[in-house]
Amino acid sequence: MTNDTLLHVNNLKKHFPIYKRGIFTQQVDRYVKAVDGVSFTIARGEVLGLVGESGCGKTTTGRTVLGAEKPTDGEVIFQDPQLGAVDLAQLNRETMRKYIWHNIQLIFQDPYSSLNPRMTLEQIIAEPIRNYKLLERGAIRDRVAELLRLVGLRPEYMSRYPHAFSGGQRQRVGIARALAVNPQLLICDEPVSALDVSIQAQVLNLLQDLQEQFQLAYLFISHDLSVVRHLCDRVAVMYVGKIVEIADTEDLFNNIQHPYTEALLSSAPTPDPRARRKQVPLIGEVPDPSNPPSGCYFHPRCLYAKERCVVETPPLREVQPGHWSACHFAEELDLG
Amino acid sequence: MPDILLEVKDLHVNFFLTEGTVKAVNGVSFKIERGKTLGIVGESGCGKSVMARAILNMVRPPGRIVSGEINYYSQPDSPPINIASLNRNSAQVRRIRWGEIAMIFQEPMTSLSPVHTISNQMIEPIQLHLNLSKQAAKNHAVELLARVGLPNPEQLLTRYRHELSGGMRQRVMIAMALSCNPKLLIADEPTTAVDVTTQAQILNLMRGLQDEFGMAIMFITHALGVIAEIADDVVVMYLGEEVEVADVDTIFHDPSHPYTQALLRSIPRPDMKLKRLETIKGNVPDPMHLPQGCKYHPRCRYYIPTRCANPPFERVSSEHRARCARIHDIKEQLSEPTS
Repeated sequence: MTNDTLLHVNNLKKHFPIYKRGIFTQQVDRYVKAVDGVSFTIARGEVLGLVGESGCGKTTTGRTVLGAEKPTDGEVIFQDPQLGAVDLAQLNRETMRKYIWHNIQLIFQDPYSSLNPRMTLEQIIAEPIRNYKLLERGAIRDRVAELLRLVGLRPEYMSRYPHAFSGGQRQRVGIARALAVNPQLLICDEPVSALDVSIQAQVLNLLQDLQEQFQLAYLFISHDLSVVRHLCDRVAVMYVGKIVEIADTEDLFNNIQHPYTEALLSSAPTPDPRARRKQVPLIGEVPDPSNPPSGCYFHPRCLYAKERCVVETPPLREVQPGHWSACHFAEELDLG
Repeated sequence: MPDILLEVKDLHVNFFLTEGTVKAVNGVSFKIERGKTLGIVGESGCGKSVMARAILNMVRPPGRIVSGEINYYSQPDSPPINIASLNRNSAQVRRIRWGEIAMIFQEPMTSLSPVHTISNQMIEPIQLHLNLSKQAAKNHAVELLARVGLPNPEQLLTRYRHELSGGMRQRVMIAMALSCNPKLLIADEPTTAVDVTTQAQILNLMRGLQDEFGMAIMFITHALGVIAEIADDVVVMYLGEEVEVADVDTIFHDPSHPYTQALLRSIPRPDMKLKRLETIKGNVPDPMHLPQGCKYHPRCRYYIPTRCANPPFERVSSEHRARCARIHDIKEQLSEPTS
């Protein structure tokens, strides 16, 4: 772990039990391996994208990093300004609340359900400041006004309730609330997916400006590849609870090293009718994470699968400097 | 002379609410050619879904088709049927709905019944519309489910909707929509609730089925990328009005309306690496209080109060129209080298 690393996630696992219920007993039948051995790092001021289909475990990864879910196994080492390097997986909620959560904040997908409709914007944004006693009573109002201006809202709005605002404006309020405690890491869980096209661009630009202004690090979770490509420094691709490829953004998009990434990228529509091409769509469906296939989880859908892929699980390995792939044949395949 | 299947002329749909009247569709006109795909693109609240329902005469009170024509040409030389003028519960409308024009919806979870098996939901409409025996209808259903790429169709018929994944549900909906061999398939955001990989599968499937059955598709979406993949012609809508109509290549490479131009610049594109996205200022206005004059003017960068009061639907070329008073000056401005 270098000095620059803010977050180091090592072999993180989150397994949810499925119970078989008897009349008096309940036994664990099997586990949904939502996150199954995920490792990555985020440097200070870096934007890491996490992409994958629904159910691949990207949201659970974000929630487990934050400590909203207790990890089953693995380490989440966070470089805390007060405590130094701490493993969040070992901390209890009390300590997390006291020391960690004002350094790691979350932005939610749905701006309609993530703001309390009975609180004014001032109350919403001031709540984390009050909880952490960051400011004197008298200074809070000014800080709320400053935060509202920062996210492009008028300070006069602070006495209004969320229902008076559109989806894009509410998302700005959510961002202001997250920034209120001066975090170092923001976990953005599909922050623009619920917004209209013309509003998406506004929020993406805002996130980009704030990142540059405050040197924030983002874990940017999204299923939208073009958004991830636009915003992120590095990208990790997840499939059934595992990271299958991780690399610098342009390297990942131009020099694909995993068949799943290839399939995912070729599925994404290009906004140019002249670039229409015959796609090779992925056949079949995402496997059930409580009953994944043997060997490489992707082999039943992979165009290049060989016998080895059925029996042997490929580890995530560095196939080129800074470019990691979990495919046995990454070097041999010539992927588009 | 293009072979027109459906012609919408100056369609107005209003919703009469206690708070006031919402003009959800406000004078829209377009044509769909037989066997072609028309893409309708717009942000939420632009009236695209209401328009789709209006074509099937399915707008429920407090909404009503106030004026306009929806001329449906069942055969190339047959006289048109004006769907808008028919009673929405009449036998004629019901025959066209599902029989000739079928529709699939955004959320396949809610458009399938939770308490009936797929077989119950599929076989009865086939029996009624095609006048088949139960066994023949079942065989037809199995064939259709296999055609849309679902494995084990016979077993699938006995399942309930909660046992299927999102992609499977959408395929079932497509199979149901195709069951009576429609001439027009209206697809209202059919891929919005599914993953990109499933989306690619469904778009491929729809293209393949169109080649095979020769139906026309009206594809409604907010995703410009999907429009670029599937449409032949495009209608861009904003606040109940069409702002630009053209073929797909023109829309993406030579758009005339400031809104279309701004939309295209506001999405991240792999082919143009931009440091920052361009934004459209402000928000979509409240439909109760529409702006006067050009509906887009509060957000438009080219707005001039004196000129934009009542923008005409100008013809740029024979098949390309845009609702903007300044298209010619904008073209000149854009062609000047920017410093």
